[in-house]
Amino acid sequence: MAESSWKVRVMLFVRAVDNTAQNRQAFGDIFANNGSGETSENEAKLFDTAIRLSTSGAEPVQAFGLETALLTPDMRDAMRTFLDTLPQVRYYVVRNIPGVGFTGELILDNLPDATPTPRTSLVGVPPWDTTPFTMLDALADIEAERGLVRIPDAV
Amino acid sequence: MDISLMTHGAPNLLDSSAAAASTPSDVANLAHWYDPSVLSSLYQDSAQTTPVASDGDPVGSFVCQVVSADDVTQATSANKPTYRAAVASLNNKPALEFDGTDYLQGAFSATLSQPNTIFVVAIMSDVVTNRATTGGDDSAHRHAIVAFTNTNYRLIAGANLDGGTPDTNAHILTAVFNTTSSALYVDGVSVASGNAGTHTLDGLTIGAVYIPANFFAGSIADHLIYDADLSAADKNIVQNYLATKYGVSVTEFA
Repeated sequence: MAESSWKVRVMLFVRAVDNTAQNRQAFGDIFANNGSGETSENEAKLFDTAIRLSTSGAEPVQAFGLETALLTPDMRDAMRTFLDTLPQVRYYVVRNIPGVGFTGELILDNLPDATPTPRTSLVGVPPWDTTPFTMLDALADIEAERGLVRIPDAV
Repeated sequence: MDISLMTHGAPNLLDSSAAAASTPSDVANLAHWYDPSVLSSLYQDSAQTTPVASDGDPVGSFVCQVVSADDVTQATSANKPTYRAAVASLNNKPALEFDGTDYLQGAFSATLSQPNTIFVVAIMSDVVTNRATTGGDDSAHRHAIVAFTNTNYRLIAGANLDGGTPDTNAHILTAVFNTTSSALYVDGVSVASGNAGTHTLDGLTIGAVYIPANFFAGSIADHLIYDADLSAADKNIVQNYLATKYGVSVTEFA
């Protein structure tokens, strides 16, 4: 079977105050305007299902953890431009590995060098390190760096 | 050899037309079947204009094999599960991969009253938070199957029925929603029995409960719903089919 054209996904953490109509629209446009097949309004709904985070582990929400769909090449530049507009955003770019799963392979993050787990801005060089990276890894990072933990869902 | 035995209705020992193996379609009261092995049932977009074609494609629509109008969809790219052409832990069969923020949801053409029997083939990638394979589509029509971390499974259809120990292995979950005679089986082994509530089912969420919340992380393969409390024999037909397909060891229903 041919390899999918959807290559990378982004895990990102944004402040709750940045969950604005303008940012939701901008995020939705990245996908809708680059061939996702869905409307910008629908694409903006990802904030409705985001992982909710706070330092207490209870409401009110202080930050959202989001995991995008896999991005096509056309979406990447728009996504990068958008990420640069978000104050204090933390993001990870994970490469799709056919047959391996959504864990993927971390190829880029924007952790500052002077963190508990220092990283360069580009993680690994080809041939890529195949260590799986998941949202759980990203959540562990954000807790270590900023003390944010998941608020449990209602059942 | 007395060749007369080969004529006039006597058993023909040379007849090789043995009964075909039973499939879920052979069991009566099959109401819904979502099968990721049927590639033509998967679309990248909710409008069903772009078929899923390759490993890694997003899934925006999943067509039911029984009632084509009862598809489950997702119109937000970030919430679309991913098509995986071969999942090693599921006998290298196709499945939908849920990343902990994905779900598919849709309404049914007709409401199902209890009893119902639901089969789900799934493997979780972690048990660090609550994970639902199945839910209804609103608070009054639940039929949820939730793994509460690694503490217990829970069936929810107006009441809570707990039992079993979730883990990160591949399993065939069989949930019988039948008010006070509800039950949950994991690979054919009973782990819970009692009252799960009286909700009817007029829609489906795959990969979360209806809210949506308690998102699944891992892979979900076949998802079947029967509008009946299947007999042990019929449960075995379905379970054995799934066990063979996905390489899961099971205990037969008695």
